[in-house]
Amino acid sequence: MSMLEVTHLKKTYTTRFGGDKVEALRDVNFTVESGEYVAIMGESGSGKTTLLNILAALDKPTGGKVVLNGIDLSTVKESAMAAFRRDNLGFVFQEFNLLDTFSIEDNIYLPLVLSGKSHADMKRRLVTIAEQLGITDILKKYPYEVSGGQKQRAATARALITYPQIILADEPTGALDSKATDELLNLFSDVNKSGQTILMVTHSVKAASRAGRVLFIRDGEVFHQIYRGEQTSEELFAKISDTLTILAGGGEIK
Amino acid sequence: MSVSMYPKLAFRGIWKNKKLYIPYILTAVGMVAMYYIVTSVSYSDGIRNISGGDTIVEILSFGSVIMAIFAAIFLFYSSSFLMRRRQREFGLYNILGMGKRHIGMIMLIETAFTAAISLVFGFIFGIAFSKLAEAGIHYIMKTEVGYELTVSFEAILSAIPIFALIFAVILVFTLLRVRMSNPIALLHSENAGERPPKGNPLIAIIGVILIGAAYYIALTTENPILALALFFAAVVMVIVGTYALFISGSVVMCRLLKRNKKYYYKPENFISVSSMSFRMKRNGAGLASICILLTMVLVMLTATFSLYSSEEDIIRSSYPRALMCESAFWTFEEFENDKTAESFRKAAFAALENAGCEPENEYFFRMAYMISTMIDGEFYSFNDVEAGVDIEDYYQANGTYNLYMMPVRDYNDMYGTDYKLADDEALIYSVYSMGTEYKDDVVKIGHIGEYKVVGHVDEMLDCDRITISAFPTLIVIMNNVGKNFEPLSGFATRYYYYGYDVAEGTERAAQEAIYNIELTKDGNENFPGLSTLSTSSRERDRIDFFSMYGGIFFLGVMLSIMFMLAAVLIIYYKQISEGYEDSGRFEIMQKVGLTKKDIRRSIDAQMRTVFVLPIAAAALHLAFAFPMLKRMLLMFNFKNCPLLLLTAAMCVLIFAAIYLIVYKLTAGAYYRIVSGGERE
Repeated sequence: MSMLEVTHLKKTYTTRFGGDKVEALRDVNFTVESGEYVAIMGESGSGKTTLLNILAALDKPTGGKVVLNGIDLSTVKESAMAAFRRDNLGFVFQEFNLLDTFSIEDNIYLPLVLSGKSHADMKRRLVTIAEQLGITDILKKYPYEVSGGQKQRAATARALITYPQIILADEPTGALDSKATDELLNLFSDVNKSGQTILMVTHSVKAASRAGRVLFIRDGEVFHQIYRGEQTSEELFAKISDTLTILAGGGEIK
Repeated sequence: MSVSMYPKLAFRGIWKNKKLYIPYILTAVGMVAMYYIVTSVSYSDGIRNISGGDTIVEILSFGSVIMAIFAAIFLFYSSSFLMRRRQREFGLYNILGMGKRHIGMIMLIETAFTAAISLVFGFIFGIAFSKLAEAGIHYIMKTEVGYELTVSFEAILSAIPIFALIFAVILVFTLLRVRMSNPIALLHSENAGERPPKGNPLIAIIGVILIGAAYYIALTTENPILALALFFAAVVMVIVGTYALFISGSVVMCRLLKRNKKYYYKPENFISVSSMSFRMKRNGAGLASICILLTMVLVMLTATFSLYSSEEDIIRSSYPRALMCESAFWTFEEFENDKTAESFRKAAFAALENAGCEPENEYFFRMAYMISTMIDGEFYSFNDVEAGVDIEDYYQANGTYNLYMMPVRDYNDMYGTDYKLADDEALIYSVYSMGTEYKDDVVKIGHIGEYKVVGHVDEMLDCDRITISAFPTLIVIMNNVGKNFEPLSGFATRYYYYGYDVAEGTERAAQEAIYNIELTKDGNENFPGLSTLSTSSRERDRIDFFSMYGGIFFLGVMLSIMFMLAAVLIIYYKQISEGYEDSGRFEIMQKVGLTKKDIRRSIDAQMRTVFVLPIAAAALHLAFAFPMLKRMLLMFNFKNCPLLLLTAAMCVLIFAAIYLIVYKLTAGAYYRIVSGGERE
């Protein structure tokens, strides 16, 4: 059984005054195995963000289902949803989404505090993760005092500290310069190598080329996918670029 | 840029920011209306013509100055808040190629428009409610009210320049703000990272010390005059202390809580403690202002309403009789002459009867009076420098006493007692409600001699009026207050005190009749040594009383309304700005795994704390101000402590209720912003 199964996922938005319907997701099917590193690509408006929101249980699908480790997300009660999200999913956002009222350390602790973990336990977890992400020095600082790359690493630490089933990353490199992007992508690869499942939505070919598999979405459907296999990141990069060119041209891929 | 664009952009600016602008304009309307009401009443013939109306007019003219000052402060505060929230809009205009001059032009039109609307609607509401206010005054003064609606052009003419000036100054500051800004900074002004508040422990400690010292003064100052003087010092200390404590103390407190890991890393405390420290840093000043305003309203209403509502009590205790008179004598010898006293008493009574005043309940006694300073247990006149009195002691109220000396015959006569004293014995009556009680068993009067205290009397008519004073009072009843007191003739005064109840409506005639005794041609031969004579009547004083305390009470109510208006505005703006700030955080927390319920609960807890703080602090301030208030009111002969307590309690309850309603309403605005939908 796959860790994440997405079958016939459909999402239709109705405009506020009724009438027009917009299909964000038409029929999305894919699975993610434990320990995989999957990137999802697509143009703006292709339904990427909608998909991620549904995977994150922040939004409800109109049809189809999402099963995480055998649990159908639609069967999780609203009241238990926040806890479910906290325990099973880790999030990394483009805009970091660190709370400016907390120090970096407290930002990372946030999900654990909410689950009622003891301070000693939190501290023990943080030491290892901070070491791994190289943020030990900035733990006491506040978000506005550190660089974008450091913020994103802190956000990653916040996602990892709950030992989640899967990390959902939404354009994690979108707000970073190229050096910080490289660093973060190396980090993601390392994290993935240690067994962490990652699902990343991105525009960036560079970011996608580091994944183990790349899914392409167009018009609300999974349109194509590329496996890394034995290819290097550079080879994958070229392949992804080609695919995107075809996508942009509206053509078909055999 | 085409000229017609300016008004368009100005109106759009107002409309787009209506959430901020409407309360601001409403406040301005309220301020203008209040100012108009107070001023128009002070110009009103209807008020001027009632007896005692002059006093009211005087109080209200003073009141309208205060109103103008507060209106300026409040409008200035809210406009600066408004502009802060609009920095980004200006930045955008600037980047889109509009010069600062153009923005200035837009601001000019916006301000002019706001000012015009505020004045027009302010006058409309002012005119509508001024009749109500006038009726209120007539009710307070217990006089008849006319019902014609009038427009006071004097008030309008006085309001226009004042408010025009206020808005002009506001405009100047807005323009300065725009001028000194740069577009990029303007665009990002709301996103600038904020240093975690450290809170200055020193400031917090100073705040605690100031408030503590003020409380100490309030609790320990026994002397009413000193209380009055120190009260203002205490008020300033409390204001400064409250600001220091709210701004810095609360942040320091949050930091201490953060250090306690066990407490801090609990789901229910984690978010509230950390965001509280930020919130308090930004809103400490606002909360302190609310607290100060509430305290002022509470103290003002408590004092003025208590005074006003106990008018009859005060008058009764100040005036045990409808007509009260005092006659002074040149010398102690003539003063103590029983024959003169007897014939004077008869003459006065006869004069009243002849005038048709039907005098009854007569009382009559003689007392010599000296303001004295005690040196080594001996009383000397406060200005008896030769005896070694330091006049400075009097100013410091240091060992100062009101010393009265009364012949025992008069006391026995008045109360039907039968005290008999030796020449060196005395009975005393010590007024300790003002502070110290005379406890010694001997009274030493400098230049005169020693008197052994053989007992205390517990009845003393009219002593309220005689002894309304900052100093403790001692009445010494002795055998002779005559020739033997001659050494004090330069220091002590000698009076007949006498009074009567007279037929209703004859008070004035009675006063005339008494004056005529002195003026009678042979009068002074009959009563040798009579120098001056003064009378006062309860009726006369009641009018003074009503106009004085009624006017103050009315002003108290008006100022309270104004302060409440300001407090509501501050609360509203606070909620709005916090709403915008929190909406981003709210979203993030949701993504990280907080339920809406959790968030709402956490926010509720914070808001409760933030809301309860000012009113709790205000109630505390009032509680500590209470003893001082009591002492100051003593000067007005107000002794009804339970009434004062009840009034204070009622005021706190009423304002807590109003505050709660405002909180509920503004919390709604806050939630609407936070739970999505509205973004800047």
